[in-house]
Amino acid sequence: MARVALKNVTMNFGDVEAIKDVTLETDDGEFLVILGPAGAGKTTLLKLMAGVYKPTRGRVFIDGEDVTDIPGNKRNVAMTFEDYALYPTFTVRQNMENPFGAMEKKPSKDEIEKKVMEVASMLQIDHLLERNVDQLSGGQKQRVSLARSMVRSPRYFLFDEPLSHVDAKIRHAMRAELHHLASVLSTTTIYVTHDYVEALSLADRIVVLQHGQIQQIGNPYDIYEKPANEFVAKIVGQPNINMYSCSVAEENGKIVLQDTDDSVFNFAANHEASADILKGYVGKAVRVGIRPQDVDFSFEETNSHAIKGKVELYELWGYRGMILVTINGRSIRVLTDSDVHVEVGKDVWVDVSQAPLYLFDPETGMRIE
Amino acid sequence: MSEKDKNIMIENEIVTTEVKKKKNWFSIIGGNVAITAIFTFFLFPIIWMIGMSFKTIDDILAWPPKFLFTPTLDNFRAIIFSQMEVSGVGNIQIDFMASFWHTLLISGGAVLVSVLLGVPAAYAISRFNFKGRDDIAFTFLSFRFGPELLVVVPIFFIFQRIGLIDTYPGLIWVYQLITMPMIIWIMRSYVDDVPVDFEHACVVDGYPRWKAVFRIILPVIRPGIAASALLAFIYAWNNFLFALVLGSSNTSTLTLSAMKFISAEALRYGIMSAGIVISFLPILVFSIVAQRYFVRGLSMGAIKR
Repeated sequence: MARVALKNVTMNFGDVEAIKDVTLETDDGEFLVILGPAGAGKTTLLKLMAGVYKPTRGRVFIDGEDVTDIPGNKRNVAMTFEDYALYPTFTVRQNMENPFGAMEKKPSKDEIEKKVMEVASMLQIDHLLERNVDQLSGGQKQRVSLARSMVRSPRYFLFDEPLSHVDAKIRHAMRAELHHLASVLSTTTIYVTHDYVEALSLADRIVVLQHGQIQQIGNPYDIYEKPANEFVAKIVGQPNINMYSCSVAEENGKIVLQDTDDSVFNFAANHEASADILKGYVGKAVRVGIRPQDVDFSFEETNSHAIKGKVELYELWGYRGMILVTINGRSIRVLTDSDVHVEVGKDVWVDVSQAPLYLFDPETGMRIE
Repeated sequence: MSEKDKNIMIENEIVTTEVKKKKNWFSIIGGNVAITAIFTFFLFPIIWMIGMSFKTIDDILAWPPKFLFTPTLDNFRAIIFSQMEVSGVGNIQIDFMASFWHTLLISGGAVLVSVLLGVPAAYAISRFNFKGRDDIAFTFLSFRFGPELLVVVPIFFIFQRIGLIDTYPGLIWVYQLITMPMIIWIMRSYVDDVPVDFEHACVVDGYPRWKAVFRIILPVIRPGIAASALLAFIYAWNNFLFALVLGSSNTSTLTLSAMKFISAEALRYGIMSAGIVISFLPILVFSIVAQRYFVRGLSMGAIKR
């Protein structure tokens, strides 16, 4: 168990700044998820913690000890790689035994055998031990790479997209398994993913990363409900949050949001909370976000708040569906139940008056609170 | 689906498989005929030459050419025991087997040096982003496309002064111009195809970087080393100009000895053929032995991620 900390870490590759001034600290035994799109610098961040890369600027600490200049082979950390990085000339067993060969005090053969068998049976790969790596399926490779990281007791685990290449079917099961493992081993774990569901379901805390910069650090609830900026709001949630530019006006003592381009989405800020927040913004512009599941809709005009639009597109995902509604050229994504009958081209009335609003400052991009 | 529809579908299936079969049958025959024709065209000179090595001089010079003849081992005997009778003049000695060993030593030595120095160089060029990396890589490549004639004269004078003319180290050194660029460039792209995560994973496993390279990377790139070494060896083996200008009796290579069969009083076609057969045998053997590596080694992207 250990606390890992990065202090003002910057990493350059040639002219490319992959990581920009990142400061981050884990708790002991914490499950920390780094969430971000492809190219955000997630893997680089992990490799900095692993000691594979040395930061261009900034320091790395483990339990308060400065390890910036200590190479990865002396840090006793374990990492899995996105492409598994299983040694192709080794068998599964040899792959798993590899970390023992580097130890100063090598355990006895029996001890190694015992440990390998223990981890292999835990991950259900004990029947594969004598196979070559190229005879394994993606999911099996994944397990072997996890097993290789678990045969010893590292100070912390670094997992790089461990479920991205796994079949959708077993992904769910493995997610649960990982969760279980993490709590059993109670070792600090840093887990990289681009899948927000994985992040929300596994993490004690989530670090949202974009362009090598931290956008927000928070627990899953905060990340979803209180996104620090538009980027964070967009990266969690499926389908994406609807975002509109609005101007804030006061009408009859009520705060009203007016779509800046035309008057498509004029709606009162019904929630007292958002109304209070927006008082200071009267006469100014804001960015308004509405999650697709918060939008009410009906195929008949039911109340005065509803806005008429047309069904542009309907996607059925089995348990849920998504309607893309266009209103005067503006579109809004609406999440539906699967039992709703939807016809493309039909009129639909959309009601956003009850939806919680995610409000952002258009200049800074930060959430307004 | 109705019974009728099903029948139609089945019929369609039969038709398509029949068409496929026909096409396969046709393309297999056609392909084999074409391959045979091409091979006959390209291999005929070699097959004819092998035939000549087993013929007497009378059979060789016979017209129309003889396809059926009584084979003789005289030519090989003459080469291996280096005895050639020349009527009226006596025996001349061409120690062909000695030049065989010379060539083996020089080419093998040159390839060995190139592998020992070139593979680490290729690794460094592929993995590390240092200043002037591309310039250095290009300079190595330029050794290959610079004409040998351009450099051989200055090298001759330099070698003469430092006493490297007609020595093994001298020729092995100058053969680096042939073997080194080939090994560096083939191995560079080979290492490029090996994910750097292998080293990273091994470092995380607790090994220092250099150990990770020996433990993981070296076994992975072994086919590439075999292939590039073999290719370099063939080029070194076939070299003529450097051996001609910078070598002499002590280091006379096969390419030089073969030339000696052309003399003022006779063209010894039979002996020459036997000599050539002996000189390409090692290459043939190496190629067959290393064939597995060769195909994998020269097809880039051999590492499946």
